[in-house]
Amino acid sequence: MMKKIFILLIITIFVSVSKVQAQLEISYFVQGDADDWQLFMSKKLTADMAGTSSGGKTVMITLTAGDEGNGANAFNGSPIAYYLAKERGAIYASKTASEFTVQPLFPKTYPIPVAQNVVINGKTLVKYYYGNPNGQGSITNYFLRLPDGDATGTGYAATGNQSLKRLQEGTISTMTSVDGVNSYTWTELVNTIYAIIFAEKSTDPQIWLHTASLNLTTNPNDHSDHFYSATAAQEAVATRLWIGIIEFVMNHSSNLPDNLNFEEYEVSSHCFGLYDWSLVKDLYPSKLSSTVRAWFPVEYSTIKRSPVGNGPLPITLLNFTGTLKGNDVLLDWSTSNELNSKEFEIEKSNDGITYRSLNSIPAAGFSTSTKNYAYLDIEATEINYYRLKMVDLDGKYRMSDVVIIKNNGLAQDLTSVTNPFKNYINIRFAKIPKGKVSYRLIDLTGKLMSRGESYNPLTSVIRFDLYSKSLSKGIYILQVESEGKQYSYKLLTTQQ
Amino acid sequence: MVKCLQLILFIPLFFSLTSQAQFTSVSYSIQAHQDDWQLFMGSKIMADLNVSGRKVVFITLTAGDQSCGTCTYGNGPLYLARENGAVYSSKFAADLSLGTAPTATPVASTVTINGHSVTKYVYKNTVNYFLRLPDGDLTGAGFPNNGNQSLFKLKTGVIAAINVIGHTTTPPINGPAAFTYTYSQLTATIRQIINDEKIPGTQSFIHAANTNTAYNINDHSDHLHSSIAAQDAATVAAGFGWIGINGYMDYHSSSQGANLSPTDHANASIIFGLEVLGLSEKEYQNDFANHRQWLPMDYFQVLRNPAGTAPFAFGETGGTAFLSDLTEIPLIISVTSPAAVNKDIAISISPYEPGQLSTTIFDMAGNKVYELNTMLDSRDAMIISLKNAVKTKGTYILKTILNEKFIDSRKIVVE
Repeated sequence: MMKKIFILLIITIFVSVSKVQAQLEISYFVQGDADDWQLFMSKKLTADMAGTSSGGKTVMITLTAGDEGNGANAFNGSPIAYYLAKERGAIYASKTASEFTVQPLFPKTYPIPVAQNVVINGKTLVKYYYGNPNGQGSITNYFLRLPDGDATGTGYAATGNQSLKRLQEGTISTMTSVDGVNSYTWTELVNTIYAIIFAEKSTDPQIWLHTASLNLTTNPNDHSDHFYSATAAQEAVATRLWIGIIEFVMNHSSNLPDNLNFEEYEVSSHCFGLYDWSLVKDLYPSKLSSTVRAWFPVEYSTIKRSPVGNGPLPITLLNFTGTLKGNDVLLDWSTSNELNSKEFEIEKSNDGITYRSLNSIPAAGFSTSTKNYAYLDIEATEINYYRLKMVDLDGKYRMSDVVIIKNNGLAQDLTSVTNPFKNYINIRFAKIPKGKVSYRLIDLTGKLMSRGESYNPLTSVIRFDLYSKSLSKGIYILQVESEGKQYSYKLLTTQQ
Repeated sequence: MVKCLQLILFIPLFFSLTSQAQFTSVSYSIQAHQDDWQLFMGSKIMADLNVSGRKVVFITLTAGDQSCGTCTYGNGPLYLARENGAVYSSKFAADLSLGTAPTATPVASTVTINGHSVTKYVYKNTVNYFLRLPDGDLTGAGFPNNGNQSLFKLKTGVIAAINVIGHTTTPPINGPAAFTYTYSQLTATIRQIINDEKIPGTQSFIHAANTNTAYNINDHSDHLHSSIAAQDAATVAAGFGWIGINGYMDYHSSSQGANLSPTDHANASIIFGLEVLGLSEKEYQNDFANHRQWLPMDYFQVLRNPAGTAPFAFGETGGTAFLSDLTEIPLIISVTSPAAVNKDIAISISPYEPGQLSTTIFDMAGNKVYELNTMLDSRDAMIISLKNAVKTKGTYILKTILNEKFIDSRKIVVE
C-alpha cells in the first residue's frame, strides 16, 4: 500500500512550566515569610530585577504561610484567610517592585497577577508571574504555604506544632501545607526547592540563590523559619556548584548601621507598606511597628559561595539508537533532564550529507527524570542516516550524533508516490535506484502528458516537476521504469 | 455659676453633632489632585492625624484625569483609580495614627452640598470629598477633551462655569446644575464643606499649595488655583478667621533638600505608594519612580494664623479660643539667601516649640563649617542669627534640629 503511515510512540509526562526567554539573568530568593524580602533583601531584589543590561528575572520561593497559628483561617471578621492576605500583600509589593524597576509600556501596566497551580516534583504549587512577557524585570512567586513555625520553631498548637525546624531535625516526619494540598518530608521539600529552581532556569549556565544567613555569628537570633528556609534552600543547591549563594542578615540587621540611600529606603518602606496594606485592607492588624521600621534603612548581605562550572543544559540526551523492525527503523532516545525544551525534530538522510525533516515530537518542556521517546520510520531505505535536532523554547537547538541503519536485505521496490499530486510527483524507492529511472504520465485516453528521466540518483526519492504542464483535474496513470522493473499507479491531480 | 450654665448649654449642643462628637479639632487639606497631600503635605497631615481627637478633611477639587475625563484606558476610569488610591492612603494614615483595629475600606457616598453633587468617603478620623472638576493641565489651558476648562479659567473669568467631568462641556455652562460650578458656587461649596466639618469653638488650619509664587515656584496651575479657591472660600471677611492657612511648596520643594525624619520619610513612601497602588491595580502606569523626588521633604509657610474660634452655627461669630492643641511642627520659614561671607545669616522659625535648637552648616563635601546650639524660650516667632557663619563663598547645606527632631535641611548660597 502506498499510503503514508506514521506511527508515533511518545512516552512522556508533561509538567506545566512557565516559558522563559533565553539569556535572562535569573536570581532566586528563598525566604521563610512573605514579607522577608521587603524588609531584608529589597535592594538586592530590585537590583537583580533591573539586571546588568536590560532587566533580569527574579524568582521568589516563600516556604511558610506566615499564618501565626491561624492555619487557613480568617479572623477579625476578615473575608479572606490571614495567610492569603499576606500572599496578596507580597504580590502587591512584587508588582510594584517590578513596575518601578523596569517600567512596562506606557500608559498601561499589567493586571495584578492571579494564582495558577503548577505541578513540580509531584507537588501542586501556587505560582504568580508578574512582569514583561519576555521576562525582563519580572518576578515569579511560589508559595509553599507550610505552617508558621513561630520565632523559635516550636510551631503553633493550632497547626499541630509543625515547623521547618522540627521537620529538619526529624521531630516530625512530614509537614502539611495550611491549605492541605501538599505534604513534605524534609527531603521532598529540599527536592521541590531545587525542582522549582530547575523549572525556572533559563540557559544561563550560572545562577544565584539568596537566603537568610546560616552564620549564627553574623546573623544571630534569627526567626526559626528564616533559618530553616535557608537551610532547606542551601541543602537543595549544596552539590550544584553552578549556583552561587548570597546570605542576608535578617532580624539582627536593625542592630547594624543604616546603609541604604534615600531611594533604597523608599523602596523597602513602599514595598513593605503595600504588603501591610493587604492586611489592613481586610481588617487584619498592621505590622508596621517600630521594630519593622528599624529594618527599612538597612540591608546586609555577603557572598557565601560563587558559582563554579555550568548548570545543566536544556536537554541532556542519554542515548539515541535505531533498530531495524522488518523493513522499518525504530528510533529510540531518552533524556535524563529537560529544561525549556520544545521539540525533537527527526532528520533523515540517505547520503549522510543532505538531511530532511521526517517529523517532530514535542519535548517534555521540563523534566528531571528519565523520559523515553520513540519514532518508527516506515520509509526506511537501504542506508538510512538519522539525527535529532533538539529545539529549545527560545528556538536554539543542538544536534545529536548521527545514527546509521543499513538494511542489506531490503528488496527494491517503489514504496510511495505523491498522490494526489499538483505540480510535482515524488516517488520513493526502498533502496537508491541504480542507473536510469524513467517515468511517463498519461491520461486515461492514453495521451502522453509528461515524461522524464533521472540517472544514478543520490537518494531514494526522485522528484518529477510538472509546473510547466497544463493538466486538467482528473485521473492519470504514472508509469515508472527502473532497474528493469516497471511500476504503474493511478494518480489524481488537483491541477487545473 | 454662669460658667456652669454655659457648660450645661454647651454639652447638649456638642453631642447633638453626632457625626462629630468624637472629634475635638479638625484640619483641612484642600488640593487639586488625589496625590498632592501625600507628596507635599504628608508629614503635616500625619502630624494632624496624630493629634488626639483631630480629624482631617480632604477636599480634592479636580479629577486629575490628565485629559481623559471619564475615559478608561486602564481597567476602569483613571480618575476613579486615583480616587481609590487616595482613599487607600487616607485609610492607612488613619489606622496608623490611631493604632486601632482597621475596619472596612470605605465606600463612596454621594452627598449634595450647596446644591452640588459631591463624592464623599468617611473613615475614622479622615473624610474625603472629591469634586471631580476637569484637569486644567500644568498651565491652566485645560484639555480639549474636557472643553479646555480649568480652575484658572474659571477664576479669571475666561469661562463662566466649569462642569464635573463626564458632564456637558460645550459650552461648559450648559452642564446640569448639580455638576456645574460658577466660581462663586465653587467657593460656596468649599465653604459649606468646611462648615459642615468644623468643630465649633476650635481653631483650624487649611493645608494647601502656597500661593506665593516666589516661594512655590513653577507650580501646577491646578495646585495654585485650588488653593486660591480654598482661600477665597475661607476669608476672614466671610467669618473664617478661625482657620489659618498653611501654604506648601509643591514641585519646587524637591530642590530644597530633605527635611523629613526617617519615620515621616517612610510614611510618605508608604502612603504615596498606596495612591500609586490605586493606579497600578487598575492597570495604569506605576508613577512611583516619577514622584519619589518629593518624598523626603515637606516645606510650607504659615500664610495666615487663625484668630478666634469656629462658630457653633454657620454665620455666628467665633467663640472663645480655648484649645491649645494646635501646636504645629516647627519649620524654617525663611533663611537669608543669598547670604554673604562673614555676615550673619537669619533663620526664621514658625510655629515653633521651646527647646534645644541645633543649627549646623556643612560644605558640599560634608565638612562641618559652623554649628550653633541654643535654647529657645517661649515666644511667638523666632529669628535666629548665625553670627559670621561662613567665611568662604559657595554652596552649603544648612541643617536644623529642634528638640532632637530633624526639621529642616536646605541648600544656601553664600556670596
